[in-house]
Amino acid sequence: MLLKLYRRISPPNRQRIYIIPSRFGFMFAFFLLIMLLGAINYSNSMSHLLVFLLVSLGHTAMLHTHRNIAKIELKHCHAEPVFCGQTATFTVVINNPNQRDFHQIELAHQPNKIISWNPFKRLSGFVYKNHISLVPAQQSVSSTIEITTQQRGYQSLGRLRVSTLFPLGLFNSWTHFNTSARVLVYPQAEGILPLPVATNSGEKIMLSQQKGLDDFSGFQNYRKGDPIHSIAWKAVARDDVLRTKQFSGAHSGQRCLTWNDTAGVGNTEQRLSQLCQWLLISEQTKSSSQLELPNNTIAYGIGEQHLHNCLTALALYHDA
Amino acid sequence: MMHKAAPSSTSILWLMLGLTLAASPHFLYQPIWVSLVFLTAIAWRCMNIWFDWYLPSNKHYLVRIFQLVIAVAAILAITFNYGSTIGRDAGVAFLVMMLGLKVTEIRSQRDYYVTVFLGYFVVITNFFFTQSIPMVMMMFIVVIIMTACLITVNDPKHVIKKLQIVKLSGQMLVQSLPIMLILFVLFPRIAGPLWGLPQDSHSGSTGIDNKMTLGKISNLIQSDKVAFRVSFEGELPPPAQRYWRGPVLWLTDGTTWTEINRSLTSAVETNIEYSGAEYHYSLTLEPHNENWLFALDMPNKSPTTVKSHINADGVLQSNESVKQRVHYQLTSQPDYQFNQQHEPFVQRALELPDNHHNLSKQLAQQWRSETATDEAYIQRVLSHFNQSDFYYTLTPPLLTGDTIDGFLFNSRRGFCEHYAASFTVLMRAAGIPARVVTGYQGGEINPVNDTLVVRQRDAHAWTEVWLQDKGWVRIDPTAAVSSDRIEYGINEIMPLSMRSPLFVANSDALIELWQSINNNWDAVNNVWNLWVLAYGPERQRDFLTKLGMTNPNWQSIAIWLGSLLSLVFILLPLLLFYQRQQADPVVRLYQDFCSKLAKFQLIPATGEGPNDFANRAIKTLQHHKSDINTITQLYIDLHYGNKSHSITELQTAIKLFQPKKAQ
Amino acid sequence: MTDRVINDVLDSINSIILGKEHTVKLALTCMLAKGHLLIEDLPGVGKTTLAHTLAATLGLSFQRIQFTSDMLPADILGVSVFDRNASQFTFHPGPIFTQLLLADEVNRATPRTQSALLEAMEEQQVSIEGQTHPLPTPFFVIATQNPSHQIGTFPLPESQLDRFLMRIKIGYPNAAAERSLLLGEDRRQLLQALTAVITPEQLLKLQKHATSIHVSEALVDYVQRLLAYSRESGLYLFGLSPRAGLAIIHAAQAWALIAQRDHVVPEDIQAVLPSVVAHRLQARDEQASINLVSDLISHVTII
Repeated sequence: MLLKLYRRISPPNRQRIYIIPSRFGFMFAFFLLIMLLGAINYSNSMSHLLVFLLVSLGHTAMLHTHRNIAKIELKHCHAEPVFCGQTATFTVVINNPNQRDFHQIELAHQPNKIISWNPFKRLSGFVYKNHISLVPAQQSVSSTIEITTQQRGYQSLGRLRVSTLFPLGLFNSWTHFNTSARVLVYPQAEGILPLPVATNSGEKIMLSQQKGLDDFSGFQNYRKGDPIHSIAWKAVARDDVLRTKQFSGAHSGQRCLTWNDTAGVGNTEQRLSQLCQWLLISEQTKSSSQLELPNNTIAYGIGEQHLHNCLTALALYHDA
Repeated sequence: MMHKAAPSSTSILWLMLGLTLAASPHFLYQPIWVSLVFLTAIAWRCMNIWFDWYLPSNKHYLVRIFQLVIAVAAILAITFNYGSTIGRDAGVAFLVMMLGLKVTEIRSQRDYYVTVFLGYFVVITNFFFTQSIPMVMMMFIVVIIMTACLITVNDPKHVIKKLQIVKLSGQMLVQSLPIMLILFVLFPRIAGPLWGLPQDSHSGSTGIDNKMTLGKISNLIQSDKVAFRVSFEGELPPPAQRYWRGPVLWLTDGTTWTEINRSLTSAVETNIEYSGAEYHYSLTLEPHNENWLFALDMPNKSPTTVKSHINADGVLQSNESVKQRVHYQLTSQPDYQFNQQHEPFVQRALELPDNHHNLSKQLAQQWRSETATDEAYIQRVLSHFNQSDFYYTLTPPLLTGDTIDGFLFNSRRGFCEHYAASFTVLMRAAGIPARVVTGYQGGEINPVNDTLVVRQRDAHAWTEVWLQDKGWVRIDPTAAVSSDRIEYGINEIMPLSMRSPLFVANSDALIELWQSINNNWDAVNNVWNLWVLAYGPERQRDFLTKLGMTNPNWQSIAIWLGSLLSLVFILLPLLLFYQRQQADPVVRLYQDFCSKLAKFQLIPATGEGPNDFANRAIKTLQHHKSDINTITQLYIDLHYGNKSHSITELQTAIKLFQPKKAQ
Repeated sequence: MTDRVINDVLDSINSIILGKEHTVKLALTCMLAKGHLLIEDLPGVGKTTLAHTLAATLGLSFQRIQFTSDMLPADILGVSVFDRNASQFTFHPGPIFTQLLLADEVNRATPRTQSALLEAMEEQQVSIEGQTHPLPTPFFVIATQNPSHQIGTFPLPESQLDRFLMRIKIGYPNAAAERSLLLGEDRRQLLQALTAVITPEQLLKLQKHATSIHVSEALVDYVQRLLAYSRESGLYLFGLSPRAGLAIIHAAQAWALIAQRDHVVPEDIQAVLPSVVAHRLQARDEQASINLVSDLISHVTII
C-alpha cells in the first residue's frame, strides 16, 4: 500500500529536481533567528508560536516550490532556420502532467558548457530568457528562448534550466534539460556580385513549354485591377460581361548558380554568403534555380522547400 | 536569475493592509504622533497607487536629506518621549516609525521582502503586550495577509485570483501547523531573559500595592481584570473565609500606610500554628510585577513550583517579582494562631503619627476607659460602625484634611480601606496592636470549570489586632457595616450598571446570558493561560513527564523532536504531492488490470489500443484468453461505448482476474 | 440488415480485386464517410478497376475523366452554349455530373483544371456563368495520381490534398492473389457481369448511419492529443488542421460501422489514420527517414 502510494508520488524515471533557499530565504531565516531570540528573551509563548509557525511555513514553502516544478516535462524544443547573425527563436513547449497548475516558471539556458572542479560553477552561466506565468494542469504551454547566431551550420541550444520561486520566493527550485535541440543557421546573405543571367536552356524544354506565357487557359470574370489588354473584348460584344483571358503562370526563366561563379568574392564563407544572396533574389523574382556546389547539386526548382534545400546545403557546406 | 521587476501595485496594497492591521493594536497606547506618522506614510503610498501621487525618489539628494532629517527627528522624538530608544515601548514605537518611512520607499523586490519580514516582526511585538486569544486570532489573520503578500509579489502578472491567493496562503499556514505544534511542545525552552529585559517590558499590569492611601483601591474596584484564578480540590471554603492575603501594612504617616522595613522582619522567626480544615487548591496568578503571591489566609507552606517563602507577616513572598503568569499549588488552613505568645514588632503596631487623628484618639481613649477588656473595646467600635449611620459605598465623597477624622466624624461613607484604616487607628489609639492587611476577598465561581475567579474589583483591606494569647486576629470592620460585602462578594453590592454593559442591564435574562458568556469565555481563557501561555521550561518538563518521557533531558527531547518532525516530513509531502492518477474510475480499473498483466512484461505501449493490447496479452497468456477478452470488452463498452453500463461488472471481473503463468 | 449489406458489398468487391481486403475496406470507409478518395500508385496495379468495381457494386452512375495537361476546366464542368433556337445559353453538363467520378491521373492536368475539380468536390455543385448546378447525390470523386516527381506533372498542392478524405496506396498484390489474377478470368469481363448489391438510397442511409456511430469523450480527447502532437512536436512542417481532425473522426465512424460496432474505439482511429493524415503531414526535416504517421501513433497516449 505504502509502496504503491510512493510509486504514485514519485514515478521511477522522474526528472531530478534541485532546491536551495533563495537570498530572500536566507534573509527570512536571519529574521526568524532574531525573532526567536526575542521570544526566548521575553519568555513569550505566542512569540515562540509565531516563530515556529514561520519556520514551519518555510518548510511548507519549500515543498510547494518543489511541487510547483515536480514532474515538469520538456515536450519539444525546436527552432526555424535563420540566417547567420539573426536571432534564432527556439519554441520550447513545457508540459504539466500534474493535476495542479504550475505558476511562474522561468526558462534559462546555458549557452556554453561549463566544466569546472567546483560543482557550484555548473549552476552558473545560465542566461535568463523567459518567464511563463502559468502552465495549467495537464496542459502544455509554449515559450521561446532566443539565442544569437554566430556561424552557419547547426547551433545547439545547450542545457536548458526550468526554475521557479513560487509561491513565496524563499526557495529556488530548478531542473535541467539537456536538449539536443539545434537550429540550422544559413549563411549570411550578402555579396556584391550581380545575379547571373537567367537562361532558357534547351534541356528543359518541356518545363518551359508548360509555363509559357501564351498558354491560354480560360476566362474569368473581370476584376478590378486586371490588365486591360487581357480583357476578352470579343466576349464583351457577345453578352456585355467583362471577362479576362487567363494565361498559365508566369515565370521569369531559370538560373544555375554555381560555386565557380563566385570565384572572385573571397574566402569560402563569403562565397557561400554570395550564393545565399543570389538564391534569395532568385526566389523573390520567382525564377527557377539550380545550385551547384563542389560536392553537391540541388536540381532546378522553385518554392520554399527548394530554397530551404539549397540554403541547407550552403549552411552545411564543408570544403572537400 | 531573479526577475527584477518592481513589486506590482496590487502587492503593495496588500502589504499596506497587512502592515496597518499588524500595527493597529499599538495605536491604542503609543503616542498619537507615532501612529499618525505611520498612517500618513501608508496613506501616502496608497494615494501614490490610486491617484498617482508623487513619491520621493532616492535619487534626489534633497529627498535623501529630508529622509535623514525625518529619521533623526523620529529618534529624537522617541527618546524625548520615552527617555530612551531601548525599552520595549520605545523600541516598538521606533519600529513602527521606521516601517512607515520604509513603506514610502519600497521600490525593489528586496525592499518588499524586508518590509514583509519587518511586518512579521511587528506581529511579534504585539505579543509582548498582550497574548489574549482575540489578539492571537487577529495576528493569525495578519500573518495570512503577509504571506499572501509574498505570493502576490511572486505573481507579477496576477495570474491567480485574489481569493485564490488568500486561500493558498491560508492553506500553506494550515499545512504548517503540525510542525509548529511539534516545535512548540518539544523545542527545548530556555528560561529567559537572555540579555536582560528592558525596564518596561512587563508594565501595564495592575494589582494592589504595598501601600495604601485612602481612595487608591477604588480605582481597582472599577477594574474587571482577573487577579488570579483558583481551582480547589474538593471543598471550597465558605465565602466569609475567602480572604486572600496580600501585603501587611504597619506604618502610617497619617494618610498613607506602608509595609514595615523588610530587612528588619526577615531575621525574625514567625510562629504560626495551624489547625482545622485543610483546603487544597492551585492558583494561577496574573502578573502584577510585585514580589508577593496571594494565598488563602493562611497557607501552611510555600509552593514547590515557585521559589518563595512565607514571610514574617504571613505573606507568601516570591523571590522574583511576578512578571509572568505563575501557577502554584497550595494548602491553606483558615484556623491558625499567629504569634500567639510573642510579637517582636508589637511596638510598631502601636505607633501613630503625632498631631494626626486627634479627634479619633480622644474618642478611642474615652471608649477604652469605658470598657473593661480589649475584646469589649473592639466590640464597642464595631457596633459603632454597625449602629451609627456608616454606609458602605464605592463612590465615597472626597476627604480633605485629616482623612481618618473626616471619615469617622463627618462623611461616614466609604469602603473597605476607609474602615480598615480608621479601625486600625482606633485600635492603636486605645493601645491595642493592630495592622492593616491588604489582599482580595471573595471571588466568583465560574460554573463552567468550577474555578474561583478573583478579579481586581475584589480587592480588599482588613485589620488584624494582636491580643495576648490569641496572637493576630483578623477583624474585618467592613463586615460590621456591610455584611453582604463579605458574605456575597462585591458583585452583590455593585450596581448592575457597573457589572455588565448598559444594554443588557435592563433584562434579567440578558444579564444571565451575559454572565454565562462571561463564564465560558473565562474558562477558555483559563485553559489558554494555563496550557498555552504559561508553557515555559517548567511546564514543558511537567508535560513531557506526563507524556511518559522519564526524566526529560536534552537528548530525549531531541530524539522525540527528531522522530516526530521526520514523521511530518514524510507525511506532509505525501499529502501535498498526492494526486489522483485518473479522475475516471473506469480508467483506474483498467490500469489495475494492466498492472496485473505487468508481471508478465505485458505493458501497454504508448499508442497501443486496448484491443491490440488484449491480443498481445492473449499470445502470452493463452489460458486467460476469455478473461482478457471479457475485461477488455467491458472496458471498451464502458469507456468508449454508447450505452451507460454499470461499472460493477468490470470491477468484479478485474478483481477476480488473477493471471498465472501457463503450466 | 446493415451488417449483411456491408459484408455483401465487401465480398462483391473482393471477388474482383483480389488480395486487397484492407484497401477495399478503406475505400468503402471513405465512401461511407462521404469523403473523396485519392489513390496514389503506379500504373497497372488496379486503381481504375477498384473505382469501377466500387461504382458497379454500389449501383452508382459512373464517369471517368482521363486528365491531360491540355485539359480545361470546362472539359470537366461543362459549358454554356448559346442556343440559337431558344436564343439563350443552355448548360451542357460536363462529365462531373455523375455519382462516382474517376479522375484518372489528376496530376497531369494543370493546377487550374485541378482546382476546378477540387472546388466542385468541395462545394458539391458547379458554378458557371453565375448559375449553380448541383451535383447528384451521392457524389464521390476517386482521383488517381501517379507518384509525384514524374516529369510533366503538377503534383496536387498540400492545400488541395486536404480536400481528399483519404489517400491510399494499392501496392502490388501478394503472390497467391497475383497468381489467381493471372489464371483467372479477365477482370473487365467480370466487371461487366457485376450487379449492384445496394441502391444509392441504401448507400445514403448507410452514410447517415455512420454519422450516428457513438464517439465518446475519451476518444475525442485522444484525437485532440493526436492533433496537438502534430502541432507541437516540431516533427511536422504544419500541424493537422481542425478539418483533419473531423476527417479522422468521420473516417473512424465509418470504419466502426464496417466493423459492425456502434461506437468508435481507438483502434478504429489508428486503422484509418495512415490514410487520412499521411497526405496532410510533411516532415520538417526531409532527411529524417521516419514514418510520420506511425510516429504520431506511437507517441500519443490513448487513455
